[in-house]
Amino acid sequence: MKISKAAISILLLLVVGISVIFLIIPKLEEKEHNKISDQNIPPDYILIKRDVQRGIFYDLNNLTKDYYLRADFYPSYSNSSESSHDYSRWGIEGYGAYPGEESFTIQNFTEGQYINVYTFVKAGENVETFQGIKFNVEDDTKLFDIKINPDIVMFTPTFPYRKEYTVDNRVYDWAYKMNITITAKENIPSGTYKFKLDTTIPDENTQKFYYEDVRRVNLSWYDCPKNDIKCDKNIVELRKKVYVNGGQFQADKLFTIIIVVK
Amino acid sequence: MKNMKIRNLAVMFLLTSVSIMATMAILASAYSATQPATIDVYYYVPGDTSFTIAIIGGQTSMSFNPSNNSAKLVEAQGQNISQGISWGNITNSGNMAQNFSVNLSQSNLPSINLYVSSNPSMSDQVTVDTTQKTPAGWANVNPNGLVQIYARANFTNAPGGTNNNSMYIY
Repeated sequence: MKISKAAISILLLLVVGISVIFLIIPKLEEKEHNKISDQNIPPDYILIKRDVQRGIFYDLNNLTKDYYLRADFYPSYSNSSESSHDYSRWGIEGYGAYPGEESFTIQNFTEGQYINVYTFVKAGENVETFQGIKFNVEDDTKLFDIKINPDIVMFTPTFPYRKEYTVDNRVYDWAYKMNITITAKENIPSGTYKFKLDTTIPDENTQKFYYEDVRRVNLSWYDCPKNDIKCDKNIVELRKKVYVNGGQFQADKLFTIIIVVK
Repeated sequence: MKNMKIRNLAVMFLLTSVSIMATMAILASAYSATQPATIDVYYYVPGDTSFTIAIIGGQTSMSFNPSNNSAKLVEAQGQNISQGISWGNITNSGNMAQNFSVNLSQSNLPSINLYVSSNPSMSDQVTVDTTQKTPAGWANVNPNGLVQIYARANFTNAPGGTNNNSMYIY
């Protein structure tokens, strides 16, 4: 009789233990998904974020992924609401830049001199696809040599979560720090010069390359929320691991650089 | 004789010097990106220019299924103008007003004309091609603003089969 009680106690303990493990596992998984966003928060994060949003923090180049891969670093994050996600629609494309405009005043911008411009480009909110996008800056004056790094990126989804993916040492993120180097090809006459960042789809080889990498990413997906009648689980499954060519829809103010030469 | 040699040497030295100086001058003036410019004023507008395109649930692209090869006013699949169901929505999730545009990545066949509008009456429709086009309703969209994408196509003796290029809108 005593042995039976002990056996029941052990059985109960086992059941409780297994239940706890099953409760904890999904949370661990979720934490992994938001690894960069929720961990490694720099001690000055809140202050830097505040000063960037006030337009008074100028050392954008030195901000690391610990800053710019946090969703709440960007005003767009607070503008969107993931809790009211419309499952009847599919976020296929969307991107943006932050800051959206930078201005420089330069005395005597002479041949060979250059300036480095930094901004952060990122996927739009609630985008469920992997987007390949090529960036370009046109110079109608032909006075400048302009280099963009990176000039082709693949944004990872921002819904149902943001995550960094690695395929054969190639790292894909939902946001990237972009460096634009503008070099004077000759002595620049006084005046105001405006440059706009444009987007197009990547070349065909890059498209295929990205497509193959998306197929290989280790990705868990989401289920339809209970009681959401607009959500079709079969359609949700079709939205998994989709690569699209981004850049065919544009916002005219994606990123603007203004250089005033005196 | 000795003076001649010295003079010749002096001339050679002078010519060599001039040549070296000329080369250096050319090299110095050659375009190279090695000197950062001195920036007097730098400021940035902390605007976020994000946006998102969300299309009707069951679709994976903008596709048309005309009843014949010269069908007109064919709606994009999933869209329903009479019920006010758009093919897609554009949300301005940034914090500044924005204009939105669209273009095809490759030219359409001459036998297919694609139109996009911001409303079901197609009153501000533009013909979509490889240049960026903005229907009036997609201009000056405020932060958190949402505009719609309605699409229709006209076919005129279009060749049979699927023409991916023409509908390659995203």
